[in-house]
Amino acid sequence: MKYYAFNRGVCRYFSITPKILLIMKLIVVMLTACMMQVSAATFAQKITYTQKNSTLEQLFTAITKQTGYYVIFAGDKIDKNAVLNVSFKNTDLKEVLYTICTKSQLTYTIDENNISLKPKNESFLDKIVDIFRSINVRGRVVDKSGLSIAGASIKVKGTTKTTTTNETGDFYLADIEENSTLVISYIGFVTRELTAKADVGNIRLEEAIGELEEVGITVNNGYQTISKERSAGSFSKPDMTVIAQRSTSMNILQRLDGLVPGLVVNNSPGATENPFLIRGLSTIGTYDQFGRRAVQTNRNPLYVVDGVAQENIAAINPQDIADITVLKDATAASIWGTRAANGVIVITTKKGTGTGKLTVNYDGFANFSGRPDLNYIPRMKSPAFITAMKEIFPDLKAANSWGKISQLGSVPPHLDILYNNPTTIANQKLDSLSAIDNTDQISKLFYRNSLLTNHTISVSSGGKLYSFYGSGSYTGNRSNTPGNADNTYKMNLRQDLNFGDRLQIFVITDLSNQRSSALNNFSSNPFGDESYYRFITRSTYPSIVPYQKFADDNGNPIPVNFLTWMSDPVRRNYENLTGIDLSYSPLEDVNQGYYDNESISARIVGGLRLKLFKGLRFEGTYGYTSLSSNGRLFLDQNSYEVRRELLDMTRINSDGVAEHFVPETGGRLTENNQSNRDWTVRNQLVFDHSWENHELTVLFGQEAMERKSRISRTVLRGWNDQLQTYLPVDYKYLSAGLQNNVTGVNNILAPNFVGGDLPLSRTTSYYSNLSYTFARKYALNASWRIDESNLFGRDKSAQNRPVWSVGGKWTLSNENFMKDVKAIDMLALRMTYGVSGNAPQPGTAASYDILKSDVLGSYVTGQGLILSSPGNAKLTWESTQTLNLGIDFSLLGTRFGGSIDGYIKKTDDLLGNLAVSAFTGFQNVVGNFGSMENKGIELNLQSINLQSKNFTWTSGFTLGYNKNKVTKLNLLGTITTGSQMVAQQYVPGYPAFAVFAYNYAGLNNQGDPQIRKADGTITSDANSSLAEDIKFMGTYQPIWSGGLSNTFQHGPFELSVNMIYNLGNVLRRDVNDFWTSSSSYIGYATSPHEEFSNRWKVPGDESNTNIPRFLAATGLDGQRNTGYYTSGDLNVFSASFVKIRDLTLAYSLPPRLISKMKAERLTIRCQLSNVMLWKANDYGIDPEFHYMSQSAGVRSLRTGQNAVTIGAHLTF
Amino acid sequence: MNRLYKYFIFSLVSITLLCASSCKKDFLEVDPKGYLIAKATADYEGLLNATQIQASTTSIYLSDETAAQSDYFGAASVTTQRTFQFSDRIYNADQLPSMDYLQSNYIYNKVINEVMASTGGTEKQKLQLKAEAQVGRAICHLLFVNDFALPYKESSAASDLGVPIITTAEINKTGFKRATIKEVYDFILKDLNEALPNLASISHPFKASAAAAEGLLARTYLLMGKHSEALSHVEAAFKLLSGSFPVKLYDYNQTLAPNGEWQPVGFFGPSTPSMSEDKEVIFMVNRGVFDFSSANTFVTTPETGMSYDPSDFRLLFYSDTELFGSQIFPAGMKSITGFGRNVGVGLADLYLMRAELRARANNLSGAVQDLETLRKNRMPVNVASVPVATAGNRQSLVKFILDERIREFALSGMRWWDMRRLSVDTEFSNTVKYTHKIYNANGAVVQTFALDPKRFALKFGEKLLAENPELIENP
Repeated sequence: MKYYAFNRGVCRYFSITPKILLIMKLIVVMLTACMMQVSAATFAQKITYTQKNSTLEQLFTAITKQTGYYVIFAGDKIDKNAVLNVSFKNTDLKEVLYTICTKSQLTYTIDENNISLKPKNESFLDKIVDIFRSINVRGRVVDKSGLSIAGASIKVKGTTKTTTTNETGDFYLADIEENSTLVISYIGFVTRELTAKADVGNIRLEEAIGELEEVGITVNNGYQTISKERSAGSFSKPDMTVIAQRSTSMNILQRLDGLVPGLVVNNSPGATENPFLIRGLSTIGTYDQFGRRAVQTNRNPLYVVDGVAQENIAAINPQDIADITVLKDATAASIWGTRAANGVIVITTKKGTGTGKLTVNYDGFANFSGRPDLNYIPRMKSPAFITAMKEIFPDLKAANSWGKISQLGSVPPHLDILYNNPTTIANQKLDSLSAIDNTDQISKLFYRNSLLTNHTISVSSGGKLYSFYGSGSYTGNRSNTPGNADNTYKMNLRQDLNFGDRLQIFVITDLSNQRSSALNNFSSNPFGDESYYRFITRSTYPSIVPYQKFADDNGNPIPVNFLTWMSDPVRRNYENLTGIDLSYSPLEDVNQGYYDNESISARIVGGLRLKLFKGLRFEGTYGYTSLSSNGRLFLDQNSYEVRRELLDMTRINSDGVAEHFVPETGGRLTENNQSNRDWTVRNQLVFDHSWENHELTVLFGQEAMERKSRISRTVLRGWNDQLQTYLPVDYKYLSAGLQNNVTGVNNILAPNFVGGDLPLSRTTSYYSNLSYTFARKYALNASWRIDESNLFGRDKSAQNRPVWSVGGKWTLSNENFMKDVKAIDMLALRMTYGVSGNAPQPGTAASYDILKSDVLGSYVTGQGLILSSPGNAKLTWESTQTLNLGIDFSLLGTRFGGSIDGYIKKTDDLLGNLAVSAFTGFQNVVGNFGSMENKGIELNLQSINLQSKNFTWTSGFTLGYNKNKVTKLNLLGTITTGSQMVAQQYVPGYPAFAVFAYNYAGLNNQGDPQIRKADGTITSDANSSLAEDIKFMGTYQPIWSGGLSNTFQHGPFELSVNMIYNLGNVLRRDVNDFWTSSSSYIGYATSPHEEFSNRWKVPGDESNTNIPRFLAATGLDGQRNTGYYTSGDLNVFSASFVKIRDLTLAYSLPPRLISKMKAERLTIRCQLSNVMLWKANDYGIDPEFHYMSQSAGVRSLRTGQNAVTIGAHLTF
Repeated sequence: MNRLYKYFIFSLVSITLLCASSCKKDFLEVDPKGYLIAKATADYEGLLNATQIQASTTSIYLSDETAAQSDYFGAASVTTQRTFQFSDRIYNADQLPSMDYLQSNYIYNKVINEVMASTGGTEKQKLQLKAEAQVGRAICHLLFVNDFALPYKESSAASDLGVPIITTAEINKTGFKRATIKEVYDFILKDLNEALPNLASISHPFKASAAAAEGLLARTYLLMGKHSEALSHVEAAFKLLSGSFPVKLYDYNQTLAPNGEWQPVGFFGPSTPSMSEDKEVIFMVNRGVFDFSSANTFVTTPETGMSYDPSDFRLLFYSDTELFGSQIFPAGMKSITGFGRNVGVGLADLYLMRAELRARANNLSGAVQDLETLRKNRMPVNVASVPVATAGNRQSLVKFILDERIREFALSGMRWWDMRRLSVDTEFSNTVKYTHKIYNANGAVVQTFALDPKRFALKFGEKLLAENPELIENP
């Protein structure tokens, strides 16, 4: 039975709110529904009948009498009087029928009330049918000395069929495909595999050597693995079958969506800093001046792979992963110390099994996800666009002379036409533009169908002394950008050595090589710098003026000069002065350069386990990961970027001659190098002892860690890519700025080298962990850990903050008084409490002023020290207290099980931008600025709804409810104005990621936006709103999230449907943002939101529209507040949605057919991913692709929706 | 017992093993590369190397030589519009006034308070660095008090509220209180006088020197209306002008001649040397004068625009045409070009200060000499001399010098400081104009705003008041 996801419990700690009541009602409904399914599906008829020389007729009369089934003899070839000797005692009907039919050369079928008997026909067809024939298996599991083992689990490999041995160690499995593999396991014994046959006899299990891993459901916290019964912690294990089949991403974390209650996978482009949140946000961190979150504290969980913390999770091949455990509460996670406040995801990779058999697996898939739908971005199409531009032109012209427009930026064709032609001619020209639509061309030229493929071959084997698991894989990621390539090759090998039962050693070597390349993609370059010279990037292409084509009818590239910052008159002037061609054709420019990057990463983990004395052992884990990457971006001398730089570095001398300060020939080469090296050394002593009813494990250890990285970027100009040579440039002269160059701006040439060592981080930690169980009824867990790091500039006193936890568990079902409650197989209550923390990264915040070096021409010596972050003497660690209560249960012969957890998580001394008095010289500093609270409930249910001969239906349901509240914020002063309030994400008394909005009151008769204030008055005054006038709309982090999976198995077919849902959050809508003469001029080159057509135009429109008027004069625009509209309550919508994350149909070829291919198993699958089932909004917005800035929402193109995957899995 | 003993030995051995890897004390004693905490004297020198002072731009929009053009007024930010209109409220309740100099003040305080305990430097080096920082701190407070307090008036300076005196680099400090204007000026004078003996000669426009300190003392006393003290310090400054960075006046007749080194004159004015190479600068305090959205909004008044001799080369630093356009401003009004101006200590200012102080002290010939020295470097010699009637009359000579200051520093905000001190100068208070005008495209006045003298002190605003409960707002 695939029930690994036991965890969590009910929480009586909370006051019961109506929402919780609702959940409970839902649970009851679900439970009832499942139990009904169970009763419908169960039939276990027993026969007792002993008779020598009984005729078939006599025998079946007795069966009819005992079971109610009527027996039909089909055809006259059956001899009803044939005699046979039978002896059944309380035997299963199926077994009885099987026995009889085997003896009498008959076959049988059972429908509702009848048993039909047919003679066995040995025709050719029968032989084919025979291949699919199923058998019934019986056997007994015993130990070394032949004593029977009760409760051992027998699983049919590759299916959901399982059973357990009874009190005498016997088991019986009906309808098993012949030659399928049985997996027999029991805690404390080595798992065995053997081929199924009717009677497998006594299966002898060997005792596990050194208790390497406990069989059954275990908790692996990265330091130790203990059985689930002994852990009071809250943990979840996702369904690995679903994970193995998900094909939309090769990042394992992306594949966890909806499978782990309490883990929110937020794919929205705005959630880049917290794509994976366990139990809500517990740290805020700080933002830099651009509104990007600075690396102060980490919001994401800690990722642990094979016992070693690792950041680069994407480098792990999901096919190599054996097990994932998500640790959520203090007891589960606090052994990881300060880094565990956001939860821990523990990943274990596969290892060879000690069966002595060589197993070869192949898995491959191709995921086709098409090209994005450009029409998803709601932009005006040509006719509407041209009409609107004509409408606003008089106003635009009045506010902006042609001189201003043409000198300051580029001028798209429609503006050129409007400014420089009499109205009638202009209208004619514009009419021809309005007939052109470029959507198809953009889609065709700048996008392509994307394809993700992966092929993994793994080999594993092993005996008593040595076992191994090795895999090789290839991943090809063909993105939807033409010309891009991204291929990854991986090798992974794990070897396990057993030197008797004293010493075990394992070594994992995991190597990856990623090669990617791209063309010069007229967008942000691959190093993340936006081009200085073109204001259109790839992401804005769909919104470019809708009439602009990029290629003519014959496919030849067209220059689109307005995509640069220059108007035609300015460009021609520069061209004449300098002789540099400044035309720009995006399609041609794509081929004027290339980018390629190669990275090699290695993960080497070794470990040993040495038995020192009875019960006492030493364990060591040693991890080393390294990544080095080298990337080259070459831009040809004909690329626009290089030509434009040449212009900026050109001066016209007094004699009129153009003097160039960067090479005129050759391109520009940018080389990026990056290397990361991390190591971890962990030594621990474990005392493991059980006596009578007691089980005790005590662990004490020490761990040291170092993280080191270096990046560098070198720029070479005048680069000849053929000869690999460059030309010299006078950087010293140009670093002070080229005075009086052609473009009139003092242009500084940036240094040709940047980089160096990034701050080194080191940690030493001491930790201890205890788990004690009495009679497998009462379990006690405790842990303690202290971390010390080289956190720079920190008072030592701020470091010594140990994290700890305690927890207890009571397994009720093991109590004697529960023995008689047959319906309950397992019931346990858990409670844990603990404290963990979070610290800023080195160099980012400190008790003392941290300085860094800076170079600037105007500094006294050209070089100096600047303040990187002002010291905050009161800085201390963030600490999080977590209380967790949980119930685990398993009912009705383990057909239905699950867990319910409730938690309260309180974070104090939040690290973030603490506002300080501006008189100090600063407005804010990294400090401890508040407290936050998370409360939540998590639910995990697994059930086998139907299990019959040919059909199995299983379900899994996860639900996470998280209520976050910022309880305290040390704000200096109070938030007084409405605009301040609307810009807040964190306000005391409200959840984090809060969305505030103006109470919009429509437009006034001038077309300017109005709000309703708290006192009921309506105003359009731009500055009059106060904090109390602002409405709280909700939070943009999902409150309810989870998934529902259903798997249907019918013979060789398996259909699984996994749905995910995110509910209860809100987002701001994307609305028109073109209100005035644009100062950035991007407004003129792009097409506004299609709602621009519906803006207020003449008095009276205010009764039909909410969209403010266009006002070209920036001064007038400044006297109203368009934010009232864009950040108004009318533009906040519910972001709830339900999606089918994947729908998979798999077909396993019958084992007999496969065995003829010398294979064991072949499954082919077809998957459909990301199908929107329901969304709460009517705007057609997919919340997973919606970005939200503080003032408005932004749609980004949808990718990977309705993708189709074809895959296969083959086992030899 | 034997068994227990074995356990003990095993544990001991293992724990020793455990610690071997990383128990060394120095394991955690590593500083991340690229960052440091100041310890050495050289670190403090590095800090001063990279510390520059920015003056706030409000003065530009408050000065009386500034006018606005109605066609462009709407383009200016609401803040600058309000400043120009002498509004009581300039900032919204959630905005802070610009006080960038206080960030520099943090560094100066850090150096002053820590450098003497630094390692690796000589006592002399440390004292010099401390002195340089004191000069910086004095300027920051001079800028600060001139933004938020009324002009210095001897009769009431001891009771008029100034600004908080900030002497520590401490981020968590709150509850700032305003000192009196006299306390603030005394603090400035004390810093400068303490610094003087330890300062070196001029070596770089961004490095404080003895000449800079003397120049600032002169400026401070001038702002306090103490003219004789100001004169002695300006004379002292002139004596200190030699150094490794020779200070001299540029002769615009040469640099701006048709083939001069500052030609051609583009959108952003003549091609002058960069700030760190400007030979006229003794100590650089930069005030940004370019604001993209209001580039055509704020211009000189017609009177100021017309007060230049047509051959005056300083006109090349101003434009009569809209930026990136062809519209000519009406009535001789001119906009400023370039990005920033030095409002710290400069040679032109020293000459004009000495001229004014000499004239006030009835040394008229000395005053004329200084005035003409400057003018000869700014315009052809034939128009440089001071009219005889003016040169012989103390009153008109001082007025001429004050007007020359406007022509030299138009639209750089320097005039605001002159207006402040003159407003409390019994003799010359009539030279201050208390109105701002907005002109239309025909040069006609469309709107007029009056300056209430209480607005010589800007308001701190609600946000600062909320942060500092003991702060008293200007009326």
